[in-house]
Amino acid sequence: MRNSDMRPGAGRPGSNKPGAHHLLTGLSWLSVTAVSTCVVAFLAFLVRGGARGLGPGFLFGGVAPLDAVLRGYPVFDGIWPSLLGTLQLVAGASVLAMPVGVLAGIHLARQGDSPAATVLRTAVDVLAGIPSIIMGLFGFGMILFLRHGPLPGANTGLLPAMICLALLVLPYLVRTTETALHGLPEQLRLAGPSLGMSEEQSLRRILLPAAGPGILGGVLLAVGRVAEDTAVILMTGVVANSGRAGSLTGKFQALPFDIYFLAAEHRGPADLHRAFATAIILLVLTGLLFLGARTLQARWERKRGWR
Amino acid sequence: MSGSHGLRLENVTITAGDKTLVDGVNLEFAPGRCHVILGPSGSGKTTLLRSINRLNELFPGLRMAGRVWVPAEGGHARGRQEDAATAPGRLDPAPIDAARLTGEQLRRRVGMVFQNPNILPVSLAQNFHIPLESALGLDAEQCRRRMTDALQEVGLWKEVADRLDLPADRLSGGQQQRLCLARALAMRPDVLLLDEPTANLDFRATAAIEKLMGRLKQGRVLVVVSHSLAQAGRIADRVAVLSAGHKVLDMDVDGDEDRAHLTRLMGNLFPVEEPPARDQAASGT
Repeated sequence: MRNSDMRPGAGRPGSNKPGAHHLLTGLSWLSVTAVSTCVVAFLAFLVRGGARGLGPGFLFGGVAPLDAVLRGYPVFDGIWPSLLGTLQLVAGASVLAMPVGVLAGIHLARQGDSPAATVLRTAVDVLAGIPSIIMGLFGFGMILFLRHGPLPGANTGLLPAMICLALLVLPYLVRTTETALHGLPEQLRLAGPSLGMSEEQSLRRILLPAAGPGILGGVLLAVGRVAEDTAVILMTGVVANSGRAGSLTGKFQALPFDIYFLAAEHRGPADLHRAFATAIILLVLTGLLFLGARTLQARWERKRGWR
Repeated sequence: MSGSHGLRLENVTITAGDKTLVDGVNLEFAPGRCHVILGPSGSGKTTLLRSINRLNELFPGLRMAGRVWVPAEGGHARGRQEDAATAPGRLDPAPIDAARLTGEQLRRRVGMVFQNPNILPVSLAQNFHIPLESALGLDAEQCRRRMTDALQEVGLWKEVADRLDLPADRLSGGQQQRLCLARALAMRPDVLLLDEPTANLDFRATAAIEKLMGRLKQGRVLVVVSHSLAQAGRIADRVAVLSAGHKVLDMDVDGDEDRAHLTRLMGNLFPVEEPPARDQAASGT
């Protein structure tokens, strides 16, 4: 073995197989190229299809943007109501799911392998396995149950959709919070207690901030899932042309449903181009939400003295 | 030895299920002396050390029997009086049963430094502010004063004074370990437990930590776990040896004669098997 040969396993009997090494390297590069090509091809396909749909009236139709945004003028031939509806869904479902999900994750991380934690973990796993159409059906069933029982005025709308979407993404939040806390090194978990800090102080001031990036990963996953899910809202209140939702009980529009509706009911290439353009907007919106969350986290960490 | 003023372990037994990790250990640790607990890997040194500040409670499945007596608050702490919020100024020499204290109260009196530097992934200053504000309720100025004192005590102040707001993980391994020492000292503990504090440091960082031992034991009980007989010879005033959870030796180490005696005793307790001679090994095959 040459002295400079520092590769793991170099010099051990049977390890000197340049053919196997080259094959492994080649396969790795092939995989990287395949994944990158898929992403680029997908984006190119989307942009090519959607570029012709993106025009001056795409967002607000014939209404002046300021009138639509600030004065609430109804927009019927632009995607503004759908963009607003999606943002409302993301905000509402996040507000409902985040506290419950993160607290349940903290509880699971603290409980370890106790019987109660095992039961809760199983419940979370079952919830994670429920297809979104069934979650939508559950929401629809609940509305029917309420309408024929204690709440005759119950109807599909923004709030039921938010609740069902919150239930849908709850498992992501629970599991990522638990995993992020479990993944912290033992020495960091012992730091607070060894300095006389209580469990609550240690959790709040050391462990949760340290697990922050992991938890944020779960939040981003949840936000992305809420923004793109179609099946749940299909059963709980989305419509094609309602305009923006006037209240939490009102019908609403959303970008993923617009894409589905435009593509499924298209009567010519213009409708398809519009569907692709809406998809671009949905992707950009999700990207901006991710970017915003990361920026907020970085600013918060700098303010607190965390890295 | 003035055991009544120090730390005392009475018949401490620690079990994990049906396995006994520490078996009926009695030890006394006096203030102002460096006590080293020696023993091979798996002999129960760290488990015994964690029984002193009840850190074992955080490990499910571990059970402890026996009693731990710790110095009364203010008995050995220096400078507590400057922080009125935490220092009643009482100088009661009688040790108290650790079972009368909550885990948090006990660990505010019994500081601990681990084998690997467990710095918080925050700025150097926040490494002090977070525990001092949370555990002792000190304000920013008191925290800053304690941080400065502690960093000076471990000889780190000059090296880091101009980068207190930088992430602590940018320090070298030896500096990080001294930071952990300073952070423990900033709590003004009556007892300081060091669990193999130099095990992962190079010889220069090890020497820097060992040089501090003389200062660290002043006015407090200092207990160091080590697996190095040579290190014990350099720093210890008294050595206790554990083997398979039992205390098998407890002796003062004062001068070269004691150190040589300790080395002989350790050789008898833990004989090293000679490897077979080359010709014997060859004939055996």
